[in-house]
Formats: sequence, structure tokens, C-alpha cells
Amino acid sequence: MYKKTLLTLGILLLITLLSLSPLAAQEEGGTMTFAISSFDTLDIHVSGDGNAMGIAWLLGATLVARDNEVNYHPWLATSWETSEDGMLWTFHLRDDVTFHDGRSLTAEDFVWSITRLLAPETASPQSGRLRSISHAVAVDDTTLEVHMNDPFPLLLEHLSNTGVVQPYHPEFYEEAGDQFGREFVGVGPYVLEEVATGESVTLVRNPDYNWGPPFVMNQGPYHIERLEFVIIPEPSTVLAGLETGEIDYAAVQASDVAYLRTLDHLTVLEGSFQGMLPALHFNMSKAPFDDIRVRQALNHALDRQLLVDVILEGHGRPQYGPISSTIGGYWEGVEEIGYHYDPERARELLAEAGFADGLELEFKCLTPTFNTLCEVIQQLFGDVGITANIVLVDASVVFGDALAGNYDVMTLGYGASESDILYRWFHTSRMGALNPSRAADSELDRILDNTRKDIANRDMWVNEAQRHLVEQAYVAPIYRSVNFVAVNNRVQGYLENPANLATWAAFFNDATIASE
Amino acid sequence: MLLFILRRAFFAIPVLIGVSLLTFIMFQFAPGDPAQLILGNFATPEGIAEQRAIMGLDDPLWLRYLRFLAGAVRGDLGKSYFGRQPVMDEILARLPSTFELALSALTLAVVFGVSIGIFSATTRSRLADRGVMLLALLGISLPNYFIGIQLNYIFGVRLGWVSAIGGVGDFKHLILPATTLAVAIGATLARLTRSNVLEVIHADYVRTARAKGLEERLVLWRHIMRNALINIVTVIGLNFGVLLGGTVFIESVFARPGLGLFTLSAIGKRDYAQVQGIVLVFATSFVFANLIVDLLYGFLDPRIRYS
Repeated sequence: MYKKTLLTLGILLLITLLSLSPLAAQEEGGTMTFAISSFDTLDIHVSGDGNAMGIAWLLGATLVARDNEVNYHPWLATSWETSEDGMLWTFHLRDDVTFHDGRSLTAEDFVWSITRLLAPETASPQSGRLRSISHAVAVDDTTLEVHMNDPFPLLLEHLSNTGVVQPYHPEFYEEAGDQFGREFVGVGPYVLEEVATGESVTLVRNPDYNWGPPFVMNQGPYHIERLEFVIIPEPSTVLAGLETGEIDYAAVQASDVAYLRTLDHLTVLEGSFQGMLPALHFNMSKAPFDDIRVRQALNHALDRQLLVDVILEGHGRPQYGPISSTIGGYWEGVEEIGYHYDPERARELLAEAGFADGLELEFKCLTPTFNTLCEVIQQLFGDVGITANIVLVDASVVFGDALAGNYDVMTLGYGASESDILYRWFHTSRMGALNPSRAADSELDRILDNTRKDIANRDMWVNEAQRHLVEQAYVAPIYRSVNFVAVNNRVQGYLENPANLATWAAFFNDATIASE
Repeated sequence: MLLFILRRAFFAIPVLIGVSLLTFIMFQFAPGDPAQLILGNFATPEGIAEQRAIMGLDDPLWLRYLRFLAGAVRGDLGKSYFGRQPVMDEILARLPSTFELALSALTLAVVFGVSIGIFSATTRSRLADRGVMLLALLGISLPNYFIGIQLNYIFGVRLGWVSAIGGVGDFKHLILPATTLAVAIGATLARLTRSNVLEVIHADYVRTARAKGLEERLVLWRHIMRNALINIVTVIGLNFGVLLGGTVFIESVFARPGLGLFTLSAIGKRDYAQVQGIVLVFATSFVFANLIVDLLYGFLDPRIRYS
């Protein structure tokens, strides 16, 4: 009896102690410090900076939200429907959402924001995403109509996957004038405290936020009190800050990962690149690259696993199709029909095309990013009798040369989070703006048109586009790289794989931070 | 004296116009279409054409230069491609931080460089002289970002005396970047001061000064240094560019929100509107630095004023 009492007391004491431990006590509060390499403006309609967009996400919210499996969920809109012909979308908004200054959100704010985003004077790099939108109308405070120029199945994707289409506060915008972007008012889980030009961006928690999308862990206010984004472009300084604990979260280079993993107070997370970068592009408007056998031979000459091992130090995977396996709509078939390393076959194909004695070509290479990659590829080409003369080109020249068709073979590529990039990159109508391989392929155009028109069978058409692109070998995808993030262990409860959007909003939706 | 100042200032005007013209022309030949750059991955051919018209890119070159010049004179350097902020505002916001860094570095460089040079020239110990000059050679040869990263690691990470992630604020944030930036210029000044002092230390007028029983301290400052100063001022003026160039690396290593860091990010993003503005401001400040050096000459050596 006595022993039992003692045991009970002991357990009680233990529970009390546990509940007093810092982890349990630190439910709300704390400051989390992020290192970012750059920042321009919170006016994300005109921002060209990924970090700025990530931060803007935390200040706002969008009509719909996308989960890891590419399903769309209500967020600021409770429901939506689309007309039979796909020319009209109607969104029904929540009526309990307020801006950071306390004003209620209405459909009119969305109309204003979409109109400003699409206006040519705004010159938004994002406007191309929503070109299919003709105009938006507020039927009443909670009903938003979006009228289309043409049916556009990816509307929800573009409304959800970036913070770009979050509602702006029109009166605040007018008031802020030139300062808009350094000042901001949104409807998101964090409120902007300060933009210190060139130095940092500080956000504080919005205690009124309780309209998170249903599928995230925490629909209410976030737990971490303050977020500080410090601009540090120099990787070795970021490393120093992670080591001393002054930085809690930062993207890090693959070459530093081994060292960071030896530090007990850090966790290194892996993310994956989305899109197709790098890939060799073949200029279809020039002989002999208009010959499919030559393009296939160049593809077969690439030992992609070797390139992953040498260039990425193993941190990546070979890629065979035009979109990475991390994008919704990826077709696994590309790994079957893709061009695996086969120098014999490459030589045969070249011989068939009339280059049994070898082929000489100009190989434009983005410098300094791909210098080493191009040198290894030059060797691989040499193995099958192709003499590739490397010409280093700077980022400022690459696009001009590509669009003017001023190259033979070139390293190019894109980052993309959805499969519509295939249309934007390869459709004939895109020549002059994109479509650097200058493919004018009516069959491909038909397939790509259908990815935008035949909404019911979109998955099939996207698969078909991938099959066709691999078969025609307009490009030679190389690999998909892995990116790394280091997080201090005093941050707990974050989502390790936030919907491949790499959005901070999803990342620490339910996270807490222990005080030092 | 006033006339001298006015005359020199007047000569700066054609130089500044030349600077603006060169800057403008340079960016006209920069590859890539600004409209394509702004609209990026989602661009359409129509969108690009529309944007070119809005930006006035299809107007003749001379008209665009005049527009640029008229803006620049009024302090309007246009808006950045990305972020659409007035470039002048962005530059002005960062100027104080860079000014603070450059001025502290220059002060450190002059104080330490000149003292070390004098010490080296006047010391009786050959070993000390050689040792100090070897260090100066090292200071000139080591790249400043290397010194910066090392200092940051030692004092920020290992010793924990200062923040390892730099930034701005009090004296503690300034000491490492200012020291780093001062090293190369200080070392140059040390070597220069040493050789200049050695040159005149045996001159007749120095011997005369000593002969008339002047204190050694006064001989040094009134006779030796006054003559060495012209060369030192020249080198400081010439090093103004090194100083500005140095801020690009130093501000990056120590995450200081200044013009150097801004330059780096502008070039990285290929925001030509920003780069053009920065180049113009840097070039203009260079012209003014040289103007100040010119005026100092006149102050240090009255003969220059009247020639």
C-alpha cells in the first residue's frame, strides 16, 4: 500500500515536471529566424523574387488551397462551380475573413486585385499565368464571378499554388502609394511588422486568423510569435549563423550538407527540384538537329547516372521526361521509353543519319552554372564520335540566343510546379516568347491544345504530351536535383514535406519554437 | 580659393554628362530584351510587344537618352524591373550603411596605415621594419572576402564576440567589416608612407629643420609629413574605387544592407534599371571624390591653386 502510494506520487511528480518542461510551456511565442538570399517587394504582382513570394504567402491567403495529392480545398472560398463550357467560374467566399486592419474581406477586393494583376501597366511577370481570365465581377459581397477568354482547366492551380492571387486591400494600396510593397496588409496568418530595406523582413502572428484550409493541421492562429527573415546572400555566413544558432532555417548547398549533419542542433531536410533543369535543347530550325536520329543519338550518349554522381555528388536522380516526378501529372512511362545510356545505339543512329565519321557541333553552355556539367557531357559526346565545341554564355544572353534560334545545342530548362509548363514551353504559338527548341509540331500542338481544352481527359493528354516529347527528343532532360534546408531543432512540429510548394506557410503551420 | 573651387567644380559637369552617356549606352548594348526579362517564364509574344511599347523601348536612342538624363538630373532613376520600386529610393535607403562602412574603413586605414608606415620608416630595428612590411604585403595580396570570412568565423562562430550573421546596428556590427575593408588600403598606405618618408627624411630642408633645433616631432609632422601627404591623398583618392568595389564583397559576407550588396543582387537578377542607377551613382561619387582630392591638393600645396 505504502509502495503504491509512493509510486503514484512519483508518477504525479513526473507528470508535473514534464508539463513544466520548456517544450510543453512553449506553446505560443518565440522568434524564428530565417536566412534568405534576396528580397525585393511584398507587392508580389511585380515581384521577381521567390523569397518575397514565400513571405507574401504568410501575409495572405487564396481562394482555394492545394494539398500534396493535388486536390483543391476551400480556403477563402467555401465552394465554387464552373459553367458547362468552362467560361465562367463562380466562387462563394467566407464572410468572416478580415484584413489585418480589421476590415472585412469582400468579393470586390478580389475583383480589384485580379484587375490590377492583369493590367498591362502593372507588367506583372505573373499575369501570363492568368491570361485566360477575361475579367472578374463581384455579384455581392461573398460571390465572385471569374469570366474566361477560353476554358482553362488549370485555373484552380494558378489560383492556389502561389500567393499571387491573394486579395489586396485597395484602400490601403492607395494610401501606401510608393511605399506599397514595403508596407502591406493582407488576410493571412502573419502581419507585416517591418521591411528594413536590404536587411530583413519581420512578421508577427495574427491572433485573429482562424480560416486555415480544412486539410492543414492547424486552422487557427499559428504558434510562433515572430518570424524574422534576414537577407544573407553569402553561403558561408549562412553556415556560420546556422552553426551559432542565430539562424533557425536556411536553404543550404549540397556541398555543406555532410558537415551540417554532424551538428547535433540541426536537422537537414531534403526537397526536390520541380521542372526540367538542366536539359539540352536541340535547335529544330537547323540541320542536322531536325533529324530525329541525331537528337536520339545525343540523348543516348548521356550517362545520366554518372552526371548525377559527378555533378550533384549523388544528390539527385536521372530525369527522362519533360517534367520531374515531383509534379502532378508526371507520367512514369517516360522512364521506360526514355533514352537510357547506350553509346553503341548512339553511334548506330549517327551512322544512319550519315555521320558515321563523326559530327561537330556548337554547344552553348550557361556559365558559370553548368560549366562542369558541360565539360563532362563534352567527354560523353566525344565517346560516341561527337565533337562538341563549348561556347560559354552568360545568363543575360541565354534567352536571347535561344529565342532567336542562335544555337545548335544549349543548356536550358525551367522550374515549374504544374504540367501546363509543357504548353507554355513547347507550343508553336509560343515561339518568340518561349519554345526555345523551335519545335513547330502540329501533332504536339493538337495534344497540348487538348491539355487546356479537354478538361475531362486532361491527365491522358498530359501523359500523351510527355510521350510525344520523349519520342521526338526535342530535348534531352538530364537530372532532377535535390535541394536542402537546415532547421534548428528548437523548431518542432513542422511538416517535412509541405506540398512540394516549399511554402513556409504550410511548413510550420503547426510548429512551435523552444526558447533558448 | 573660392574661384579655384568653382573652376574645379565646373569642370566636373562635362565629366558627369560623359558618365551618364556612357552608362546609358552601356546598358543599351547589354544583351537581352528588358520586356522579356520582366515578363519572364509566363511571357507571350503579344505581352512582350505591349510591354516594349509601355516602356518606350521602341523610341529612338537619343530620345531615350534625353529622357534618362532629364530623369537623372531630377534624381529620378526610373523603377526597378523587379519589384517596381523607384531606384533612387532604393539607393538612398542603402547609402548611409555603405557610407558608414566606407568612412570607418577609410579612417582605420589612414590611422593604422600612416602610423605603421611612419613607424616602419623611422624605426631603428630592421627586423621590425621588415616584419611590418611583410604583413603589409600580405594585407595587399589577400582577397578581402577571404579575410572577411575568416574573421567572421574566428570572432563570430568560434569566440562568439560578435554576431556571426553580421547585419547593422551598433559598433560591434561595424568593427569586422570595417577592419576587413581597411586591410588592403591600410597596407597600401603603410608601404606608401614608408617610402615617402624615407625619400625626404634625408632631404636638405629636413636637415635644416633639425639643425635649427626643431623638436623631432615637429620635424616629422611639419616638414616630412606635409610633403608626403600629397601622395597619400592621391592614393586615397585613387583607392576610392577599391573602397566601393570592396563593399560589394564585404557587405555580402557581413550581410550589411548597403549599396554593395544591392549591386550584387541587382546584377544577379539582371535588373538593368537598378544596375544602371548604381553605376551612375558610383561614377558620380567617384567624380566627386576626385574633386575633393583636387581641392585638397590646392589646400596642401598653395602652388597648385595658382597654376
